[in-house]
Amino acid sequence: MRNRIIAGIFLAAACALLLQASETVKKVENFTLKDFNGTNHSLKDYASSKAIVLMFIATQCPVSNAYNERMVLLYKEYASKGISFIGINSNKQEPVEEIKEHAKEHGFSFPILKDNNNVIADKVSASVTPEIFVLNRNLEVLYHGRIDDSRRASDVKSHDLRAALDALLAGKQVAVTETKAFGCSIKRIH
Amino acid sequence: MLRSLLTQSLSVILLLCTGCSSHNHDGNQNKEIAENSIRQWVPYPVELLDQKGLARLINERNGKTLLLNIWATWCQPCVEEFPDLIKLAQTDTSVEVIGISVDYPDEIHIKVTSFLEKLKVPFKIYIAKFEKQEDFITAIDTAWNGAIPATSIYDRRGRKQFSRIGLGTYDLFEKRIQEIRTN
Repeated sequence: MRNRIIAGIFLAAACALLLQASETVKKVENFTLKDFNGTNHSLKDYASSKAIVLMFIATQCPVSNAYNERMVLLYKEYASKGISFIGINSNKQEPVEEIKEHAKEHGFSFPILKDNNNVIADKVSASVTPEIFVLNRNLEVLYHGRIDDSRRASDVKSHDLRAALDALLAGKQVAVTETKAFGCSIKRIH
Repeated sequence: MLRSLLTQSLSVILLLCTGCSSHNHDGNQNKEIAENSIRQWVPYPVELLDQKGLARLINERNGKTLLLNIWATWCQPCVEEFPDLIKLAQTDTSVEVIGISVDYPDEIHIKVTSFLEKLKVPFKIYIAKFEKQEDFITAIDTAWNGAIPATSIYDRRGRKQFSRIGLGTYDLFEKRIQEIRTN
């Protein structure tokens, strides 16, 4: 009898943990947006990638701009390892031409999509630039948050995005799945 | 003779009065200058704020509502919002406006102080000094992810009653403050 009670308690605890785990995995719905050249990009197009890094970025935000070089370096390093990078600009006051010019100026080789009327930012609840979502092939969010812990490259102590991508490539679980950092609020239409 | 004496006396009185009047005018002017110099903007010293300091700030209300604004000199909407916060601090004595900048502590003199001087900011400004920026973000609101400007309004008992991410206005904040006060 005693053994049955203990087994029951273990079973209940395991169910609770499973339930909690399934609740915490968020999924992003597939979407299609145009890049600054007018080409459509769907998340489904990147299904063969080992992971997709969505980066909500800006042209005018000093924090986002502080990460321009770091984004280029991350792209160069991880794109060759099978990870796709997609920039998304949801700011209402930053038009496509400005985004194009900004990308050219800073050497962004990854696509940057214009999220008119902040539809996608609303769907995934992105609120700040820069803000990162790392997705697996099933479009499940494996990491959400900052690139690292300081807008000053020389002060960085925690390379959060890099750690998440390394874990993913090594077939391990991402240890820290959610981080926060100061940044510019996304300028929405309302 | 009497008439001449009367005329002379009147002239002396008039002269004295003119002198008095001139003296009073100068006196008023000096008084005004003194008052103006008192009224001249004197900056609050910018201080660092840690976890304990933040808790004290929110809880020690002294009967006043608190509007806490998180900002940075690099944040354009934050800068745009400041005149409205200044107006609020100047017109509503029932609310204490406090700003917490997330500029780096070593930027106080080169960025923060010069900004406060330019706008003659009439309320207290702190610089957040937490070991990790996440600790500060969570201490303000667990649901907040660090986008600024961010504004919270606390009632006279230090209970959070309103929070907003993004640019706010004098009218919006004042309306919320009135609602909190009457509830």
